[in-house]
Amino acid sequence: MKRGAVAIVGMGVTEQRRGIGARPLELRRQALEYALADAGIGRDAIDGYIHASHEREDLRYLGLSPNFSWPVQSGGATAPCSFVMAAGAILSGQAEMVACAYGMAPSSGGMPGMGEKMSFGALGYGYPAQVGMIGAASAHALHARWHMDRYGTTSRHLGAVAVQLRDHAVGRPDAITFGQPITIEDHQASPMVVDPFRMLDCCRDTDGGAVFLLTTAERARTMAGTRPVYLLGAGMGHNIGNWHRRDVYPHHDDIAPAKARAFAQAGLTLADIDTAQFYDPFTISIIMQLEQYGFCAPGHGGPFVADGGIGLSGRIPSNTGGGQISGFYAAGFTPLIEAIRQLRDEAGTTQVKGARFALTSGHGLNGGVQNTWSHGTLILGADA
Amino acid sequence: MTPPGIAPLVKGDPDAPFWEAWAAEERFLLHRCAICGRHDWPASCCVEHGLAAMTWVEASGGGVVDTYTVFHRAYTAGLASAVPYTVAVVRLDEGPYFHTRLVEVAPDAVCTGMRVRVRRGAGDAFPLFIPDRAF
Ligand SMILES: [Zn+2]
Repeated sequence: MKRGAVAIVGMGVTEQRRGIGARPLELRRQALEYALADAGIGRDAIDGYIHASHEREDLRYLGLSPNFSWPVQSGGATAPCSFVMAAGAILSGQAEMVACAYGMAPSSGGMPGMGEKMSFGALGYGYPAQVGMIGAASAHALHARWHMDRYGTTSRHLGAVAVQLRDHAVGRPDAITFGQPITIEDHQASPMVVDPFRMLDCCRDTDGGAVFLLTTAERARTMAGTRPVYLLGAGMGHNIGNWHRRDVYPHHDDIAPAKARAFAQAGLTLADIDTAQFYDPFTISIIMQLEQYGFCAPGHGGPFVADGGIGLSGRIPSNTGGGQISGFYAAGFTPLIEAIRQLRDEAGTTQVKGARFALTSGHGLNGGVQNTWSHGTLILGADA
Repeated sequence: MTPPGIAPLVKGDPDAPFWEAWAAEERFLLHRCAICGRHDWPASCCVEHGLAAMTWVEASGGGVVDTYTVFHRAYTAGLASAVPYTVAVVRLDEGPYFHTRLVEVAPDAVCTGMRVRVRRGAGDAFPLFIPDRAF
């Protein structure tokens, strides 16, 4: 992919919170309307539709008439995957204006393919569910325990992540923890859920929708009144290779190939990145990704965060909207939404001054027993 | 007739031989490549040689704890009486990971690197692991 050939010219985000009570389809409908208004175009301009997950009624209910409608499901990596699919459709001449749509309502009943009422029992990853290994927290806890025992990372290091994310979220009205600061003592006092994760190490599911409109850079330049954000680079990696090599738990996904491809396409290095928005369902996710992207040395992620490394004045301001843990859980779209807000200078109290380049990550799906996740990296820019 | 080198279709659950051997005689099997000797679990293609070379063989049932987690919360009603319980990823001596529950050891006595082995003679429907004190 050529750097900057594709731009995001519209973003629509519904409210993101628990118990909204609307269906996912309706959340996508409202997000689409916001995105169309943001881009200043009509729904007839949409000639491609990419749906994170898959339900059959979208095009009819949303009143769209595109030339194609593609489902994509790679768990929390779906967000970067959907942008790559949109870029592929645009650059292969299949579409000029692609809508990437997300909408979920896990706290109002039901996940795609899991019935109307989601049960946690459905979140078992293969045969380990038979011994009670259920839920995403345990899958990430295995990485966290490995990291603690290998490097000496502590519960207070995990707590430093939680406190920093909350510091970011308290001034952001769209965050579910807006106006609710916490201290490290609050973290240490919060109940142990799945060791080593306490309640405050974990995100909570929220309902919400988000739609992004992607087009060519040429078209973006003709759209007066929009604030295009450019897709500079993209890369993918899959941890199943580490499963085959029997080396899963030291790795938060297989980030190396995703990072290498994305940075090569963008023609940038880590030093160019102004802000990082990581997929962060649990506190360990930030620590391991900081290390594996190279913002700090292996094993140093905990102290790096405790020393303010991801704060607004730190080495790499990260998850500035509070991330999934303190902001809201829109799966892999949480990091993308915040990166786009940063590059459009719309990030409010946690705006990184003059942010031009943002790194984002997504992580998800299950290619083996568990912990064999897919990883996606996108680098976005305020200019092409 | 399946051409040479192409494994015939496995009917039903590919992991069935593992569960049947455990249920019948508490034998702990792994899927092994006859060409390179690589062991796998669950049933897999050998990354070098495909499915044709794989057979089920008896394994030692021993290994070390690679990592683990302790559940302090029951995610289903059926697990309420079990908490706190330890789920461990055992790195079997033959190489593959095996996810299981550690029993006969308090959660706070578990550590990574400890030797464990499959428990036999307790009527476990699933192969659970215990500390290998003989080691
Ligand atoms: Zn082989």
